[in-house]
Amino acid sequence: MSSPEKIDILVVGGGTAGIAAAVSAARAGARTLLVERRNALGGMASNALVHTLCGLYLLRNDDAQPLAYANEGFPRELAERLIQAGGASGPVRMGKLDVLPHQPAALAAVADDITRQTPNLTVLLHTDLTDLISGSGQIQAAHLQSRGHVFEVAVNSLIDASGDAEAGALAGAAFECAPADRLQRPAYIFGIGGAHETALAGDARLRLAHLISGAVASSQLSVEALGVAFRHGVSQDEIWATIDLQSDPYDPCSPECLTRVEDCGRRVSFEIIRYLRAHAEGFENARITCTPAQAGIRESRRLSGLACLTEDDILQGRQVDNPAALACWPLELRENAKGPRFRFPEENRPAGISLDCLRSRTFENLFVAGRCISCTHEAQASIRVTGTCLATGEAAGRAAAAILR
Amino acid sequence: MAEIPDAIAKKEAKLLSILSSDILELAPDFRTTDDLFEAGLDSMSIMRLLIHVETAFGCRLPVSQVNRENFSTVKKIAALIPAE
Repeated sequence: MSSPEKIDILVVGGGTAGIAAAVSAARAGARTLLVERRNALGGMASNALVHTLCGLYLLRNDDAQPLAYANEGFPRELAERLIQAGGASGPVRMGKLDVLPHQPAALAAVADDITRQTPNLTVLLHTDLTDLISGSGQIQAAHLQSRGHVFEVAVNSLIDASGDAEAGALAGAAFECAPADRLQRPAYIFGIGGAHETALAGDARLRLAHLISGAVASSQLSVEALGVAFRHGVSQDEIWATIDLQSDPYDPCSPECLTRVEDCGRRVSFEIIRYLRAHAEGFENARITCTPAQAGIRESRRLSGLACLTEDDILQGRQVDNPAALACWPLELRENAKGPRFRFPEENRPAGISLDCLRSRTFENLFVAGRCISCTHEAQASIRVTGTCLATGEAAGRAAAAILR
Repeated sequence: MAEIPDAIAKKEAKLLSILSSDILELAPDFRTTDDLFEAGLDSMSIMRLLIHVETAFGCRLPVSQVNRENFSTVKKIAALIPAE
């Protein structure tokens, strides 16, 4: 290994939190490196085919109330650039929530554009963090590897936007993780093309539910198919199928478990499409157009910070002085197949997230952004959504850049 | 022959019990006339409900009866289930 290159800020993980963190840090003047192990930026919102941006807008009591971004700044910038690029259309109201449906691949392309146009920022795809060197309560250097090439960078600060608090875990920082039976379940999302445009019209979703439950009861489909739900994408000719998987025992940081989840998701996706082609009205010519680069992980490790956001903070819409970001999504519970899925805050108020929830309590120069910030298991069910991940990313990027001065 | 009120009430109670123990988190005072979709019923939970109904009542509801209106309350779903 040659002598380490020196950078100001290393951002680990190129999901939406990592993009926001890296761009914000670089715009504030910090020499920033963003590393991502897959071939595209966007994380869950591109690689896992999550196709709806949640948590961008403040909750509204009714349709008459004007729509407002919960977090101006980078979340708004990304949403608007996506809309301009034709990669998102909306926002649309779904029940009591406003969301922005988007095309996962378009989000990755917009992220490429934004990061390419940002001075002081280097993005390395296909690059993985393998080790961290620390001392005196600081992270000092990172070992990175790509295709058998190993290199070291010395860092002033590190932002863990890995979603799994991977950097924290590698460095030996304190973290928490809910027990296996409480973790929010993973989702396997796949794209369907070729279905008739009325395939989901009216009560068709309920008829599909009837069809699939009958097929499961008669062992023509695996039991995991009971976790599937269908939704149109940005265009009517595109359908997304999301399978909420039960994968017991569930451990989102174990390669054996992740392999089982991916294998199961792919197998059941193809089972479902074969069955729908043969039996469901409007699906005669349907085909799978894409499977995800990774299953959608909702929850794993949470880094332990100087403060911890709680369920009460979210449900009471508690304010803090100088919030780093606002959490506006209700608690969306996916721990098991039993609902209701949403718990809303009092008067639909957003909760303030303190910067101390984005700072490791173990290492002074370790920040965290995205779904693995310092919070309780329950609060994580709100803050894991893309809008909030973008906002905590931006706040962590700015804060990490500010301490350089 | 019309179903006797006792049998109807029994069927509704059994259905409500399935819904609250296996399908949805329902408030203790949830009534058989309250809106199930408001309480979180969706296509995914209907799949599981249909399987439970088949096991508990020994009948499979025909697809022609599966629509939003018929599934909006416990009372309406119970009315689709033939007398035991």
